[in-house]
Amino acid sequence: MKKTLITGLLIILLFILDNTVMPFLVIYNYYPSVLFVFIISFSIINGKWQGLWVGVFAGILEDIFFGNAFGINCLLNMLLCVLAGEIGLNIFKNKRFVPMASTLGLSVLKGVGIFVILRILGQHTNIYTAFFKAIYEMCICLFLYRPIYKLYHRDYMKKEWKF
Amino acid sequence: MRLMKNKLAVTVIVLSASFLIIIGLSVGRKNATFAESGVGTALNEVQGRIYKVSSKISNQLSFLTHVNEIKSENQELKKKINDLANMEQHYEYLKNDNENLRKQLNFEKSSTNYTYKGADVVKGAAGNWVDELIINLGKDNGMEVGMVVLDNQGCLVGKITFLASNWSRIETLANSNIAVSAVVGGKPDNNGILKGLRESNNSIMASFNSLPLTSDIKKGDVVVTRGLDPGFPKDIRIGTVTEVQEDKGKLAKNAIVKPFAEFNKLQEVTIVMPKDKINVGY
Repeated sequence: MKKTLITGLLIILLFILDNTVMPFLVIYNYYPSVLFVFIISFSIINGKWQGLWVGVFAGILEDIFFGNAFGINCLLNMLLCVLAGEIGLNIFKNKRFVPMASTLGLSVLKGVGIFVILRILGQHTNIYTAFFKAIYEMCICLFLYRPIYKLYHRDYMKKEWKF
Repeated sequence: MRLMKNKLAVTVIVLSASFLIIIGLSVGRKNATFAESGVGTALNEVQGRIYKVSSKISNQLSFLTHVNEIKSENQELKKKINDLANMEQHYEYLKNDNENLRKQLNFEKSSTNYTYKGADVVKGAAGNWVDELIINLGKDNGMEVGMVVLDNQGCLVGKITFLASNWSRIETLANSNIAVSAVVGGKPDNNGILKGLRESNNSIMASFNSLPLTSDIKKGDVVVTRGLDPGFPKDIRIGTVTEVQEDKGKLAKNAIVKPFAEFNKLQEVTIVMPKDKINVGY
């Protein structure tokens, strides 16, 4: 219960941060989504199922303010978080390298996904945004992964094995 | 069935299908659902304040890093003020002359009137993809989809495209889905359609198309709205021309325009509300 609450609050907080502070930290007119870095790292650490619901929740928040149709972020986040959970099964979770590489790859995938879906809906967007955002998000992952890992390995986060 | 044993795969497929259906159903909608309005309003309370603070900090910092530019801009502006003060005299004379002539010929003035309402920007663009701003006025404040939005200098920013009860979404000129009929200031023959454009370095420009080949538009000309579109007042400043190209295939000229509005730094906007809503046909 505590874990759900803390995760939920963290997602809302990072979403607000994404909308209010990140637009000003632009490099070359691009800025990252801290929320996305979080949900991917979360999914790698905590597995596919929890990643799925976190992705959907974050997606719903993003979609409220997103233009055009509702559900684009939900769909993409969900699929990518499940993928991230799958990646997390076979790695040393306490090392940063694979999470950083996955953030890069999955961010590009999300970018391409959004570009394609918006194209189908008749809207033209800039494809380069995907790549620059992905690089920026990989750098954010460099700094954020360790704290997230530590957060989810504290005592009150772990589920007790009851004998 | 083996598929039913793999709960995760089933969940993913079911959710994906439902999201795709929701996307299909909600394309191009203009009004928010009740839940969205509520959540949005709640989030906007917090977001609005934080956005203002970040915006102020960002502006202060950019001031420090651009001191030289600001100095030279200052010199240019002083000179411009001088020139404008001189022109003001001439304008007063022309205005009086015009009024006298109108009276003599019994011409009627154009009837559409507008009120202007100020709103705060609560949240910036949604992750680079679609250029939108969220403002803190919505249906309950009299907003309608399609209303024109200006910055606090009176330059064009965009249009309202989505309404919730207490907030709405504006698509800025950077979004290529917005088009407005525009004309070069002072040269009524140089008219065409203006649309948003993203350059490859992600900067926001506009492309001004379908100008007649005979137009003498050149770099530095100011582009303003023509007033033909419903709800769009005349003579709203849009931007300056940076480049002119000829499209002999379509027998037209095209130009690239740099907008006056600084979309990344907007804190407040002004909404143009026509007094005569019925005629505008929102």
